[in-house]
Amino acid sequence: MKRLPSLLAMTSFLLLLACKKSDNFDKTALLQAWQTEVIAPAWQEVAAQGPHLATKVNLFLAQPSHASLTDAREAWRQAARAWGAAEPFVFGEMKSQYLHWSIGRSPANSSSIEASISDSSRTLDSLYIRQQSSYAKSLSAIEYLLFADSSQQLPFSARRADYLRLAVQHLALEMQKPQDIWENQGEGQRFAAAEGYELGSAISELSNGMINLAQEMSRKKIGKPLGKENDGIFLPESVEHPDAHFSIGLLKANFEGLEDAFLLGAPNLQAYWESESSNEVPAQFAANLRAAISLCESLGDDLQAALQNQADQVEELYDLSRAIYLALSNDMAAVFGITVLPSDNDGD
Amino acid sequence: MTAIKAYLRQEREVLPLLLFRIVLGVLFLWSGIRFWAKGWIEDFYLSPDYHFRFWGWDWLPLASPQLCYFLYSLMLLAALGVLLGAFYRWSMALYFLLFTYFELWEKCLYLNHYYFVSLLAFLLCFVPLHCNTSVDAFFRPSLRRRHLPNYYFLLPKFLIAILYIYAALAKLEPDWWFRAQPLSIWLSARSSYPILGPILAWGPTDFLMSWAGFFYDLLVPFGLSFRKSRPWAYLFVILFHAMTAMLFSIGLFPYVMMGVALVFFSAEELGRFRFIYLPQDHLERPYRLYWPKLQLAIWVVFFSWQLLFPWRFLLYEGPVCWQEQGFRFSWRVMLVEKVGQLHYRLIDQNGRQKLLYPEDDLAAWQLQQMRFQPDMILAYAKDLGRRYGARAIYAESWVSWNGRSSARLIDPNYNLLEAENGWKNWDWVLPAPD
Repeated sequence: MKRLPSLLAMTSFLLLLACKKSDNFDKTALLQAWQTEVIAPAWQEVAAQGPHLATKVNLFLAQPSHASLTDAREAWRQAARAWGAAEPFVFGEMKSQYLHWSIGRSPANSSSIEASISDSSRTLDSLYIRQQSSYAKSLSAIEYLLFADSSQQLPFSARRADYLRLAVQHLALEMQKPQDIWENQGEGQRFAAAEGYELGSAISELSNGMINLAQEMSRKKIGKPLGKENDGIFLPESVEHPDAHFSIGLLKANFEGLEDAFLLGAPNLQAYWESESSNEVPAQFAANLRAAISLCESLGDDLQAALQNQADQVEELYDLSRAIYLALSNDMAAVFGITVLPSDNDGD
Repeated sequence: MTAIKAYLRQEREVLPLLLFRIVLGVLFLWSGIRFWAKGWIEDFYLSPDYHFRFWGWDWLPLASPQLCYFLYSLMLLAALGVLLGAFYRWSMALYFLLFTYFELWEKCLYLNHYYFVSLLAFLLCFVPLHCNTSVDAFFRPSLRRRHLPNYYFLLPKFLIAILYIYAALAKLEPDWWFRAQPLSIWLSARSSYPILGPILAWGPTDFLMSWAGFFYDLLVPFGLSFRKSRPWAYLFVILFHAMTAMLFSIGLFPYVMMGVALVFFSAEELGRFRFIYLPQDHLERPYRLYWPKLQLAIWVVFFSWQLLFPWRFLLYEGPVCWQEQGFRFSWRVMLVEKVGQLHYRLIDQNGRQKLLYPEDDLAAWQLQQMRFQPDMILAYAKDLGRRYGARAIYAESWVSWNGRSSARLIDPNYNLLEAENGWKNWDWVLPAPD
């Protein structure tokens, strides 16, 4: 009888050890892996694609031909792809400086662009371009100039060529800023060196970047064109990058960016999620990402065409995007104990 | 019965109650100024286009911006009145009414400790805490007393004991005992904190803290009630609430609980504070309670309500932490970690379907709360239905509860325009996931 309290104490202790998973996941290593193996390469690729696009556009403007236009268009696709894969990593200083708007804002404001080109009283120079809204100088604006019907009339008028050259020049500089901020201005180091109270905030920053992108993909990039907000009536005009017919190309890059954020690095996000969770959601999430990427590949690059010819598969892609968003914003956020912050997307 | 009456009427030195009033006054004033200084009057009361109202309180008008600031200023003035003991009963009554009015403004802001402050302020309207060390007693020496009947001491103690014991009983949940949830999630997210981090990361900490939290809530009112255990119990109060203040963003709650526990001490134990008494040159007569039957009736009804109301969850199907019917006003403190996603499917009068997202209209802090609380999901559905003249509206609602995989919270085939909030079982809420 005298031994009963010690016996109870020992049993309780053993029970504790048996029922609690060990919580020794190295979050600092996770942040460091994200910094160097995941996020830095993504911004390096964006930074490389900006000048590449500018070079190809300048070549086209110097020697206008359908071949050089095709090259410039391909360079634009590569730039858009690089941007799409880096979109989950827009947070912190990148977001404070609105780089996601200056690079990726869509749709293009074609009337503003055409007004600038046709109004010869305006001097087209780098200052003028800087003063334009991001809708008139982002990737979408370059897309409009390179892919819309007006691009078929070669060579471009002098003012159209000037506008395109200046806009691409501006965009190339903007596309180098994330890498500069991340690698040279110490944002990446700050992220990876976070400790104490800041460590959770760093994880929360990236998680929210992923969640906001997943929400935008599901709701705006797929759901809206699919008529989810409009009685099922398709709105093909609301797809992203309609002139380049590259909506699914960008979606695929977005899914790949999410997959990189999840799988790349050692340790990776999947390992962290699994260490905090005892269910199948992380594995299902990875499978859904892979399925979405495969589906994008089978649908081709153009969402407008897919809506017309493969509506069922687009619906399937929408369901997958919903499941991906739900897993991130509910299941992952819940086990990480992070607060999901609403996106600053303008909701258009 | 005679012994009980004698015990209740026995007069005790009033020092702990005076200190209690001063601490409360400081907390009332501090929390009010903090709220204003952070811009929360604008953010929480005035900016939102839509407010979630408490069921049955929709009729309560919301003040215009100018009136809102005027009322808030009046509430701060009342808090100052409580602190200084100036026009004490009016100040406390006014504070109770205005504080409660602001709490009823927006359901998303509900916190257990705000509810506790409302109840305490109501109760203290009846207790003559201005009988010494107060502006009232300074100008009216006849008010001055150094002793009050025991029942005045017991009123706040009983309320505090109910809070703690019911908070312990609410922890008799499988999640709390066998999964250490939601502490496991919260502590894991804080395992990088300085000093405490390694302890929080240690495997059994979640369970130890969960179980210790239960025993703390259950035993602390008893520990504070007995002289021998009181210093230790108060030390636990300080340590426990200091830790919760460090680990969780729960505003002034830890300080409120540290402050109000002082009421358990005796005048002998707090003797060094006797310098706060005003000089008194008359002999005290036994305290005379005005309208004793009316006051007794009010206290009986008040405490009966406090004892019974938290049990209403037993009338409803499913775990209260999931369906939340009977969750509020029941001292269910820190029991759930929920994250939700929600949008609505609206069918208009022509049968056309449209998806609506609450994030398009609601403030971020409202969105965060409403996405997993069924009555708010319903209230907003009805508002959307009214605004869009809908024929039907359905909720696509997914909630992750205490680390479980997301599950549907609301029946997606239930037209929420036909669903009812109220005392009846919410048949439009789906059963909890396993």
